[in-house]
Amino acid sequence: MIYLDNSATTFPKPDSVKIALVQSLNKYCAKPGRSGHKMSLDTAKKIFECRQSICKLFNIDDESKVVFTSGCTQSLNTVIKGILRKGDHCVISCIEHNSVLRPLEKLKSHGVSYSIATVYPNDADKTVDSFRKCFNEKTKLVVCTHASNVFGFRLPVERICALAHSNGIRFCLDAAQSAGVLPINVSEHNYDFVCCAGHKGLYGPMGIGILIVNTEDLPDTLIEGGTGSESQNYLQPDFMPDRYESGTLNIPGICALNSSVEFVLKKGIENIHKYEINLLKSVYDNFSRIKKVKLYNKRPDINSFAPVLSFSVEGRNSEEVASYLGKNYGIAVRSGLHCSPLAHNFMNTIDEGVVRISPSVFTTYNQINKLIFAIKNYI
Amino acid sequence: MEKQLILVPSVTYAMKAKKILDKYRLRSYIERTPKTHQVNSCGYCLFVPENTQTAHEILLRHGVKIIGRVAREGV
Repeated sequence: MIYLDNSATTFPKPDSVKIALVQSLNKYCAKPGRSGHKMSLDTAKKIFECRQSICKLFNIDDESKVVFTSGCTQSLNTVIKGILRKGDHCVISCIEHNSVLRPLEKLKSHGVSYSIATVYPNDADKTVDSFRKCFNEKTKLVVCTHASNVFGFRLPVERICALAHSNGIRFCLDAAQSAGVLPINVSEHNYDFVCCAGHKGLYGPMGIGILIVNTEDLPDTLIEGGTGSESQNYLQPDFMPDRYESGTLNIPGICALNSSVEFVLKKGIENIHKYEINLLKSVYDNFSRIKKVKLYNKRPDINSFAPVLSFSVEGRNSEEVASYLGKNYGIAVRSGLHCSPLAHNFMNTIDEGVVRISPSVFTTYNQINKLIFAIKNYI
Repeated sequence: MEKQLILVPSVTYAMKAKKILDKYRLRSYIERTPKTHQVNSCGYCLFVPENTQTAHEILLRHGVKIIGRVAREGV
């Protein structure tokens, strides 16, 4: 199989990650921070180690700002539902994923409203201005993706965050598509919240996500329960990260994530990004010479894009193209709407969808050449 | 006798505290909290054999939540 669906989930996983996952069930299989025995403490140490790795990756000054969740969706829900109350207003971009859109739609029935800021893919000034125009006196939160999960273009999130702060509005970065691929500097840019998945660009397993809470004004909790701390208190702890980590954590996921974050750190984010963009440049250059192939962006470059490229074939539904690639060449790509109807509406691709290609560090030029060959044969 | 056990609310704080004290070259050990004091803590505390008060102040300066100090039995 030639796997080009890494935006959904990276595959394969590094060997070190597989080893860490299995090892956790042998060595770190106890309740951390609760029981008093050695394995419990060893497990707690391993979790702390993972928090440290994440701090290193995102330049965070305090391990207790790192919360483990089930995934990016839970992280986003925690922020959105923990902050917004009746009468509050939120601003999002016009390319947000359903994991942002749907919680906000749900909150509409509770008196929360939201506006959608238009994105101008090649014009950061206009994009920032677009967000500015959406703010009103009730705006409490901006949620913005770092890069489109369908079309790959990056948003000027550092500037949007600064703009939000200058208006007294909090900023949440959806880094589902960028963590492990694009640099994210929490301390420098002062994002209030960063949400990421463990299983995408961080090369971890499914079921583990990260929420960075870089503010002392903590959102309300989504769930409450046992934390192993302040057990005499009927109320949820008010300190980090326990406030958001009720119940037993996904220890195997955390151990594997620790290993996968180390893998990313060792490879270097810049190197990973550059390599994957170069692969996509090769696809772009070849596809742009095929008349019936439609591309939606300018040529990918490291300054403007995350390593995601979408295309369509004239007269063919995106599902047909993906099916052809899978059946005839064993090439795995993602077709359809990619859980982002907003992005497809914005790009006028909502009816047919697009075919998305997303490489990883394990993708080879040979595999990319096979994709190009397959599409040439299809036309 | 100086109260050498620093009680913290969670095991994450215990680890964070140890990391900070390591930077200051102050010896510390994460230990099980004595049963009589477990009600308010996470079950783990920090044993700082020397300069405990200095360590206490350093941790407070670094935002570590401390919920108490107790004497360590057998010291």
